[in-house]
Amino acid sequence: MLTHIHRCASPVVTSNSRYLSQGGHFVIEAAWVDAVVRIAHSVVPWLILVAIVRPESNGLESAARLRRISQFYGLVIIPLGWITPVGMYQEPLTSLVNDYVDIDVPPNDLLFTIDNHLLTNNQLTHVAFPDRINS
Amino acid sequence: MSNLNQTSPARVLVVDDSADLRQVFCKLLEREGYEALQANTGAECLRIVAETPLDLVLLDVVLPDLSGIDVCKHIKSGEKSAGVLVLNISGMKTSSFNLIEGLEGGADGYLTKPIDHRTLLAHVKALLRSKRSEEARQRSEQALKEAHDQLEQKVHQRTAELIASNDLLRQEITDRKRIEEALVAATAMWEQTFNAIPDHLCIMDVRGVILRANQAMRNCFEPVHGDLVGLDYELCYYGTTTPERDHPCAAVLSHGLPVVCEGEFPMLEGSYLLASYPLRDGTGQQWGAISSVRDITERKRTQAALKETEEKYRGIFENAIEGIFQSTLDGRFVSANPAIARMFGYDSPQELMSERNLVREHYVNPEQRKVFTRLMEKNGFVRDFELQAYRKDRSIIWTSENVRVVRDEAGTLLYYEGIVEDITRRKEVEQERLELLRRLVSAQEDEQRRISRELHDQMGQSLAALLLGLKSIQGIVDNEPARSQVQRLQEITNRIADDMHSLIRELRPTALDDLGLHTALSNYIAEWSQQSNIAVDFHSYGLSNCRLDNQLETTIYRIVQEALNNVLKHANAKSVSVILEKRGSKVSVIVEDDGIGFDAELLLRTPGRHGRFGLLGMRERSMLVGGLLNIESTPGVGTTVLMHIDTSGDILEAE
Repeated sequence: MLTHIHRCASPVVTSNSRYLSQGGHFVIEAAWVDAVVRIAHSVVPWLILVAIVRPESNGLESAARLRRISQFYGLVIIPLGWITPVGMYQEPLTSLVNDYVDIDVPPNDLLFTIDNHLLTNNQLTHVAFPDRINS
Repeated sequence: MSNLNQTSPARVLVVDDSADLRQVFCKLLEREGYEALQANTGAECLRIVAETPLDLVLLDVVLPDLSGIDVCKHIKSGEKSAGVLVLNISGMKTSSFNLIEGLEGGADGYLTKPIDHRTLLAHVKALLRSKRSEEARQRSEQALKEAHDQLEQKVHQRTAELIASNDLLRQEITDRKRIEEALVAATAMWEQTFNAIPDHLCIMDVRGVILRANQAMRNCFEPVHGDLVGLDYELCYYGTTTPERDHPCAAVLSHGLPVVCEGEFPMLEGSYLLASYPLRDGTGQQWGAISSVRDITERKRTQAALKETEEKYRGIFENAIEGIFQSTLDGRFVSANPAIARMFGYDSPQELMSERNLVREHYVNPEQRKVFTRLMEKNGFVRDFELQAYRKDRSIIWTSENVRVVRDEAGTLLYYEGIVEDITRRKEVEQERLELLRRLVSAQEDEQRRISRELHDQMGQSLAALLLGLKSIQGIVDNEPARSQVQRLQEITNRIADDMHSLIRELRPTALDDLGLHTALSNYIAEWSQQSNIAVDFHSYGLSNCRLDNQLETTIYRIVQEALNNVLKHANAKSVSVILEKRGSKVSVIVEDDGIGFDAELLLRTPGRHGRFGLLGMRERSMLVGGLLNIESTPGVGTTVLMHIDTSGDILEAE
């Protein structure tokens, strides 16, 4: 299950969810981190996509909050944004998040990235490639 | 209630008080093609379960109103919801105890949170699969049961049909047996009938080969030819298969037309009647013929004899002197021979038998026809019935008829037939004889009357004078011997006078002429009774103050006189009854005694004057005055002489 945390009306964001669903993933969208926490207590997400730009809080802060919850230690968290955060591939961000994806990334690239991470995390047995997505 | 079937998606109810979680589960399930419903409380869950057919309930154990365990128990205890799967999920009640409690509460699965969505799906799928299988199994079982029931029903039905069929078969067998028995009986009867017929009967095919022959034919030909079946018909009757001329059966076989003819066969003696008919199958095609040959030799002989007899009879009929006829009951001639036609003055029997001529119109006295008819109805015949008849030219003849009735088997009168004899000459002779007799009797009576008168007048007077003279001498003579001599002479004279009076009465009583029959008979009977010492009972009716014709009175007197003489001479009777009666024009005389009786008919037939002369004389006297006299007598019983006269001239019927 992929949890896509966002509270954005951007058509790009919603279309990403759609792409991922078409790619065969089960995507849950949540507006608030609390919701994710609540859901996650019952249904373990494999990967969380979190939009960095959010009205109430920073997506990275949400990611940090999630990391503090024990059961999310091994969880793949990937922020989505328009601009790569500074120090993205350095500490402390590298401990906080697993990767960064542009919010308007092509669907196949998004799917590829997601699948790679899931594969790495033993959540997938194979990765399907771009022709899975019909945007 | 199960919603699970092969075509509709499974319906899953997600029960969790967390809306987010319900959303996640519903989305997950819908993604997998399931239909997802939501409930956030135990009560709502139970309501939905009661109303909606569900396949699975994803049930959070901890609910705000009820325990998930209880909800599960409730679901499993429901009649319609017992088949709904329940998958408990709990994040708080995760111990083994909770697991056991949940499963023993009826849950089909128990997952603890957090749960991997795939694990959840796998459980859901497994449970649904299991349920599907179970339901499929149940359906199969149900189908099997239904099939079994159907099969059983079919088996029952089939069994019933078989039983019915069996019964029918049995019935058919019974019927068939009965038919066979009937057929055997019919065949036997046919055989018996076929063989019982005394005529030659055979069935042959279209070539004339004998297929079957009855006993009579076999008895006739088998001694010569052996078994007739397979033999040519012609060989039997003609001795050859190529007779000189076609035999009748050949015509039947070649043309299919029935033949009936008389003829003779070279192989048989006598004459035969052959009847041969074609035999056809159901399509009308001739397959053979049946032939019957009857020996008519005797019949021919009889016919010839009959013909000869008929010719003889015809000869007699045509040439007889007497008239022979047949007539209907109403008197129409049916047949007549030439003699009767000539008798009645017709040129031919045909003229006599024409419709205009009726028998009754030939009667001079129509009353005679009535008498004739009455006698025929009573006795069935008349003998020597004499009547006067008109000829064609209205001249009168006397005929004597012997006629009998002819009846059918039921006894119904069909017609009369008889013989008519012209007795005119005989009647004339008879009339002459009667006339002579009448004259003789009359002369005899006249002579007797004359002698009687002379005796009465002359002798009587002389005797009276003699008696007076003797009386006067008796007064004069005083000599006793002379007186007694005179007295003796007086006695002798008285005796002579008495004898003379008796003689006069015997000859012809004067009272008959002077006072009439009644008085004369009374006197005679009284004197006869006194002299014979036989009691006589005399009754007279209707004649006290009336006189009959002189000849009739004389005849009656003489008949009574003769009858009483016979009683005295022969009857040995103790009493006699004499009745004389006149009613209208009919006069009857009856003289009846209680004597020894006699055989009257035998006596009348006995030759010799003494035997029958008195009776014959009485009959003749009676006939002279147109009367009928009958004498009835039975040995040991007595004798009755009856005489009936109709003074009007009507015909009296003999009894």
